[in-house]
Amino acid sequence: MNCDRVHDLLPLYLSGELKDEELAHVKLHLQGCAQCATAVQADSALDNALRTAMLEETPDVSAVLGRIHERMAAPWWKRPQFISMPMAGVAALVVLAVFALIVLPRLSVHQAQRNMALAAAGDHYQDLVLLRHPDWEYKPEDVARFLQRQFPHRQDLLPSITPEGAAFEKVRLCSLSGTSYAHFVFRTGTVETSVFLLPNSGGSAPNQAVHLTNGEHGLDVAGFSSAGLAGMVVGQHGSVPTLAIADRLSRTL
Amino acid sequence: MGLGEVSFFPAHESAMSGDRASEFENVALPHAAGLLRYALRLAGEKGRAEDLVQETLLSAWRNFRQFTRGTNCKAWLFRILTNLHYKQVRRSGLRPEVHAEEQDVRLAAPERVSASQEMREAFARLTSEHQEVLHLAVIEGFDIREIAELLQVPQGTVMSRLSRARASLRAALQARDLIQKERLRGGSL
Repeated sequence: MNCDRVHDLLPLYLSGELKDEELAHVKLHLQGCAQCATAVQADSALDNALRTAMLEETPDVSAVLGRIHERMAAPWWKRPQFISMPMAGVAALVVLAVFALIVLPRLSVHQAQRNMALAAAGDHYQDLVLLRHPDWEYKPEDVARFLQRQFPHRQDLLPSITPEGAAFEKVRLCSLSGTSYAHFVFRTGTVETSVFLLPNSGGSAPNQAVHLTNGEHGLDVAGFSSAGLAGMVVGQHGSVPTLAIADRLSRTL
Repeated sequence: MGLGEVSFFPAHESAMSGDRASEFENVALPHAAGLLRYALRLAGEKGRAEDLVQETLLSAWRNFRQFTRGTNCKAWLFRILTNLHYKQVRRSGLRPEVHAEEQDVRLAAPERVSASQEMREAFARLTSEHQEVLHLAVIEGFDIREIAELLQVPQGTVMSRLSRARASLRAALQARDLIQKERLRGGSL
């Protein structure tokens, strides 16, 4: 291998991309050619000095990352879409037409949330009205074990989630659309309130509460999200202030 | 209160699963500083560079399902950023390249600057083409094949550009060294 060929291969040699036979040939040449060896050393030193100089001034990327995290946490329907303006106009018209004609009359919430809310209302109805589930924990020691198992870092959970003027009655683990929730029941006279909590999860947008739907059985459902926990409150429409309870839980849990 | 602001579902109910979001945080977001450094070189102005990086990362996040695990995420992100930049340049009619060597770059007093600052000033005097290829190879550590894909030029072109860019940088440093010696000689008279 001659000096010209080594010179051609130098960028690959410096980036560590030369392999096998070519690498061996270049190395052999460098051992016997002081001029090429000096050139390699000079380029390598130049690269190191350039890298050091440029990396000394690391740009502050925190503002950009903050905005990225904010967008990532937003639900998909709130994320901005980068499409061209003419396309955006057409898309907006189509969305408005569909919304006005089909979606608006039927849907007050996102379908996935609606399904989950209906599942919660259904579980509340099945448990409390039809008395279908035998696996409730009532006894204080059983309830304490349940709480320790499902919410090990929440020693004061029960008093925190008890609605004002209500008393805790029972708790069980239930499955809503395939997801396990802890279903707590509280009683104020003859009125029952259910609180569904998702163990070990905080909401992506904490301290928020929202009314979801009037359930099929005359039940209201309100969802909430706090820094540490997320869940839903279910109760008889007109008797249980589900949204107010959800709002309090979103701020206090 | 906006319904969309509340999330009380497990992560897998959302548009992107929690695992995938966490993977994006681990494999994509650590390259944000490198992207911004390169965007500053391309866009020249901090506000535009930040917008470019933001758009790049959001585009990557929206299309993260298309990213193949185990492949080079950094190269993927830089490709998105480069494409977005040149798309913006074409749309706005801006000049894509500014040849620093054609400009009258005022140098700081040599005796007051560090070796690193001298290097940065010499680098700033190179053409955009030379800055680009050195930046990608030396500062960001891309290999020749990746740079060729990013810039959409043959690998041989990248190699020859790199050789010429190193020679230009060395010449710029030597020119600066000469100026410094001249000034010192002038100062001692």
